[in-house]
Amino acid sequence: MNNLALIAHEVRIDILRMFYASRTGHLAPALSCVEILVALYFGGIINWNNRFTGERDRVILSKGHGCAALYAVLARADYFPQDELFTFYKKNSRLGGHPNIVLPGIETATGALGHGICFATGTAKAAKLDGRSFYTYVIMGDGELQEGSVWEAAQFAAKEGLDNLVVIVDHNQLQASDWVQAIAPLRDINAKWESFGWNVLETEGHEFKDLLAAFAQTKKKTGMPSVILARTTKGKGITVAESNPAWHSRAPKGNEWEVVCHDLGITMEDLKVI
Amino acid sequence: MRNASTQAVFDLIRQDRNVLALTADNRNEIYDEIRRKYPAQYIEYGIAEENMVASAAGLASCGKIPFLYTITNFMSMHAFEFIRNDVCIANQNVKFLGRSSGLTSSSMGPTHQGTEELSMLRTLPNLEVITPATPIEAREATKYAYEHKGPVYIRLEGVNEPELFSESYRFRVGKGCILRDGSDVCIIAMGSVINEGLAAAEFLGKRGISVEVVDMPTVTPVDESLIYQEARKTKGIVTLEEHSIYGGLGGAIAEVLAGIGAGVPLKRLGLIGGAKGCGNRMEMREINGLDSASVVRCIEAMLG
Repeated sequence: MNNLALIAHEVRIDILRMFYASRTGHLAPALSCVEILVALYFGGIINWNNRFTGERDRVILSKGHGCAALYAVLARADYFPQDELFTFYKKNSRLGGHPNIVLPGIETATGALGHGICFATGTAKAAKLDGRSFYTYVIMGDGELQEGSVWEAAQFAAKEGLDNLVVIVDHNQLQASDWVQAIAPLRDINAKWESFGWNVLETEGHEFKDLLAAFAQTKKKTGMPSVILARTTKGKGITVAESNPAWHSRAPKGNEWEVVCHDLGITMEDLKVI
Repeated sequence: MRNASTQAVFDLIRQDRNVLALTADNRNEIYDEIRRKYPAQYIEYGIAEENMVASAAGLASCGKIPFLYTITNFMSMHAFEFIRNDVCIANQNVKFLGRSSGLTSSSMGPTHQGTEELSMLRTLPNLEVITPATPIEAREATKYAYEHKGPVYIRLEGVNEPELFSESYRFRVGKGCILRDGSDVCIIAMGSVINEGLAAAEFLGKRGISVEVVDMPTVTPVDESLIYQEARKTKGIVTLEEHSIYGGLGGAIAEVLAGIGAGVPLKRLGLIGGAKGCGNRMEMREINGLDSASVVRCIEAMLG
């Protein structure tokens, strides 16, 4: 296991420990974007050294329900103490069920879908206006592409030539209640983005080599925004949850915790917060 | 008043490069002049208000001060959740200039009549809501919005509203202005429909009824101390607005009066279930019971 894969594995353990403490939340949506977030924060994509300054790269988890993964990554990147992870969903926690600006590292409150990319056109446009070099990264769900506001932002970002804006679609093919294909098929996603004037890249969403190569390509592209369609598995890493429509908004229970331990190679004791 | 407000934006743009003029295919002549003279400070979003609002929040988060100008309904109601989530929750420094509010668009039909938005906007965190009555008040409110750090919604109407203030008028947020002294009844109004109240007060004054007229240019935060003062001073309060009687100025004043336990009679003149009929602005006021004759009848009934 290389370094990033090891970090992703540890982030998954942290996420499951959070859920063991909270017993609620959106587990599967978090697990599908772990590698995307680890690549951004620990793969040399965001500018690490200025991550707490005004010149920081902006990362917006528009699919806010996947926040457990973001929280685990932010804690690991020193945005807040690691112990705070286990206040997830609890009274007076800064780590609610969707990201809120009260937590360091959160640019805007997300969870209502179709907002993150719109907010991001503003940060990217501001950077252009002032000749600032930061990038804005937005992680969206594929079901989220059903929101009309996404395409308002897409046409605007292309019109303004926002090549400092990168959208990553966590393309796990599931949404809240069913397969995307069954709810409202997206048809040719690539053609949609291309026709809106975007640089479109496809990649495996759990393979660091592929993800990093895609991010590198977005930095080379000038004059247009980029979208990375990352093929992922909802619930990745926990066999009972993988690609299972019933797992959008739930935590493991009962014997499922033993499956979790088996899948992650840990013991029940490891899940417990000391 | 929409030109007075956007002219103030033009003047701010010349002074401060962080001030931006944003619109959704709704530029007026002044915004068009900004587009030509200061293209780097003008952003056209096309007919896409949701993106414009959230994008403005993103711009503000990076130190920009965007002034969004378009038809009030399309901004406040179509993009309401974006105002709430992206702008207000984080207290982003975004300024909304919603034009064609109230019955400004009159015969343009119900889609263009901005008659309910305050009931939503008043509930939002951090948002100040300003409802000018005249061009000078709109200009001064726009200058105030620039000075204030946080989101501001200015409910603009159209052009050529009668001017009631002198050049030296200075807008004070959360403060009403007594435009006419009286002691029997107090009319509290927002927007240019206050002119119907002033005409009614003039008419009643000749018949021995003394009517105070208050311009209430901020509905959030509303001037509670002035409302309290009027409740003690007069025998009844009439609110007047080109907005639903639910959730707008009348609603705000009813909440204040109930909260302080004032037993003063209150009559809210406004719209119930949207504007009725078709016609020009004056005709629409008449049809909907907001013209001066309707205000006179209301006050006469109140005084028995």
